[in-house]
Amino acid sequence: MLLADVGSGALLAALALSAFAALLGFLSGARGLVLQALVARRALWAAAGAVVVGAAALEAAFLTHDFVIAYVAEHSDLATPAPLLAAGFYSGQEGSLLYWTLVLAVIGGLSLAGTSGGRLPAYAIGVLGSILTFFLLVLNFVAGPFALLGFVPADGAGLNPLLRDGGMLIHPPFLLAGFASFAVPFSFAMAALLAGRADAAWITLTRRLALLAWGLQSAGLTLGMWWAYHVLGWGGYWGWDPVENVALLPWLVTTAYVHSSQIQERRGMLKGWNQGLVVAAFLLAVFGTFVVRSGVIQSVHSFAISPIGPWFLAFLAVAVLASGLLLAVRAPLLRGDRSLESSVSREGAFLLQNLLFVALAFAVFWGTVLPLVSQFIQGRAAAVGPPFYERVTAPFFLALLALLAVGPLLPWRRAGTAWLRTLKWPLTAAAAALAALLGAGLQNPAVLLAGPVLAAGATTSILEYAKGVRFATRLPGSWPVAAARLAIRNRRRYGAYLAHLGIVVAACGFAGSHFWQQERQLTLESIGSASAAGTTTTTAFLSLGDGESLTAGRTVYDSFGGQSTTRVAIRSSAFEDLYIVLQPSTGAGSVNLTVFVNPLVGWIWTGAALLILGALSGSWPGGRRSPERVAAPARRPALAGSAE
Amino acid sequence: MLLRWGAVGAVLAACLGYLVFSATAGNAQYYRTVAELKRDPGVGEARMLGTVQDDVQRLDDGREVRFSAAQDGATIPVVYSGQLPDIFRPGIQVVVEGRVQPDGVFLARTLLAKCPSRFTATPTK
Repeated sequence: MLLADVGSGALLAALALSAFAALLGFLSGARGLVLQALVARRALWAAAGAVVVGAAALEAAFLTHDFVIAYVAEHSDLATPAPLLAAGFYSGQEGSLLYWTLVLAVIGGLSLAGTSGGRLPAYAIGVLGSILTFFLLVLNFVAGPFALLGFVPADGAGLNPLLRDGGMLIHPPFLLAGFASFAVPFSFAMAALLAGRADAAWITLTRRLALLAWGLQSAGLTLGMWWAYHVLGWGGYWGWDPVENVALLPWLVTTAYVHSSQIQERRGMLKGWNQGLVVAAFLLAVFGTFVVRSGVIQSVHSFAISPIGPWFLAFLAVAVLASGLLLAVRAPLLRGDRSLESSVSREGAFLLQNLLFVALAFAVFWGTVLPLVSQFIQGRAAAVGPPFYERVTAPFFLALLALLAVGPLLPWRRAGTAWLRTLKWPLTAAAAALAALLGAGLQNPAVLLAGPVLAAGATTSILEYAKGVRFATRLPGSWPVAAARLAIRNRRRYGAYLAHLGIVVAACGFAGSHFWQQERQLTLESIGSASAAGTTTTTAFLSLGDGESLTAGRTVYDSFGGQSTTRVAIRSSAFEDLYIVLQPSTGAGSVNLTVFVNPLVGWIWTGAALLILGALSGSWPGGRRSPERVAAPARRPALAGSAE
Repeated sequence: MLLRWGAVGAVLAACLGYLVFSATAGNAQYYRTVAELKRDPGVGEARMLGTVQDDVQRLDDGREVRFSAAQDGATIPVVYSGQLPDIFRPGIQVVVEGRVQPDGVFLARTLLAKCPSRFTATPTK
């Protein structure tokens, strides 16, 4: 009883505090009140503190098996091991909403720590407080995690078997944190519009926050693919399901933003466009939450169909209207300081990259909402599957990879003819790759296009590091030390190229496993199985020809209506995964195995790790780019300074 | 300059429009109800949502599965061979894509299982 009281009390207090912070934030922003703005900030911090207390109460309830709380009884049992008990927290609707709110409150609160008492931070408190208030309203009155059962069950229902995996400890927290954190750059973008400030000062902070959200979402998407690949046992990692798509959408839009924001920082252009991207990323994150939670679009992942759907739809409508109106009203303020000097320039490359990413986002969005659109227009729902997405997105992904090979070589403002000479290395690499692929007898046009483009992209990214090292050798002292110092000082620049390299490596993995996956069915005679409390496990020990052995298994759970989980046998090497799934038993004493050979899948995880590392180093505070440098003339020595 | 980028944007939008339009036309599958399919099997591929009934038969060493899918009181026999999802069992909802054969059996090319709603079971008293 006690933990439930602490938890619901804390959430109620958090609601009151965040509503107060929102009102006072807007008021102090509008009137330019300094002291009141500081009070509003403290109120928001107090609200964040109360949310932390509420979340701690729920976690404690899980760890102490407080089954009188319905949510705890539904998502854990006495036999659940302690680490997975902790994961029970976000394994259902109410808890995952509380987790969303927790991330929003903590990251939002931290983002305000460095701000001073101006009008912009005051408005940011207002917007952040409003979003927080919405979530707390839902948590307090619609989907309360502390609702009590009328009795104390002897044991809980337990976690769904599919979720009893180590991946559950990391995948949902990252993805939900990514979703939640898009609200923070949105709040600052809205605040800048409200305060009438479109200068470079706010964008440095917004960009760092957007990069943080982007990094979290990248990690969440990657871990989701990893979990699907290792646990679900269908041999793949991405199915273009609506739930996956809506997680990808804010990521695509923010990828555009982290590039185009640099044009604004350096050249004072594209202000309105950038604001629009930040706003769109948040709206898409809310849209995604709505789609996932409301069941409005049929998905393989059906989450709880619950009464919170209409609430999110209403919130989405308010957010779309408010941000659209604000962008329209402030349009005159968002005019650029300069116009583009030449299309063949870094700015031009970024602009093209932005258009391509927005086009991609549109295509994915279209495929996702097609059932709704066709239902509305034709009166019957139509859906598209992976072939649609592969056909539409492949040309755009290829164009983006080509741009990745060329864009970083282009100088800012205006490219003369000198930069053409820098193309010789990527072009050589592309030609070599083409020759190698043709030599290997490959004829698939898609492979013959993608291979050279990837080789050129990798070369361009590595070339930037080579340039840095060459520059470092000319500095006094030992060159490795100088190179390391250079890399740390220009961490945004080198972080970006690390992320590019990660994209190229991961793209090799996507291409390899897409083009060359092989699948075979095998039947083994005579198997044994072992039963333990409530479960039956079948295990196959597989001796491979080279003396190694693998274990594939399948466990059937008597509860959960005979649902079974596989233990996929995977042997990973640098170039391919051997992936073996034990199929459900036919009861005839034999067992069927599906054997996949998945080329280059490991490259996806490696590439994603590089990408996230790059994003982290790029969003780390400090570093080379301060607002003063932005104002400095763009002309600078080619090697020594160019910070981006 | 604005004109030139407008042109670039227009070309990209046209490419996107063409790709989206052609891929939608070529790949869209209508959700049809079991009752509709029984009344009029149609000619093209269809996508159908149904609940797996208790009559699941596994043939050909488990590589092929036959079952009845029910929706709103109507049922249709379904046959599918290929990789079955882990959670496949009587009582779950599946989305099948394929077409109705002349003998009235729905030949599924793909079979997707909907994850169990709420990811939970009911608590025991």
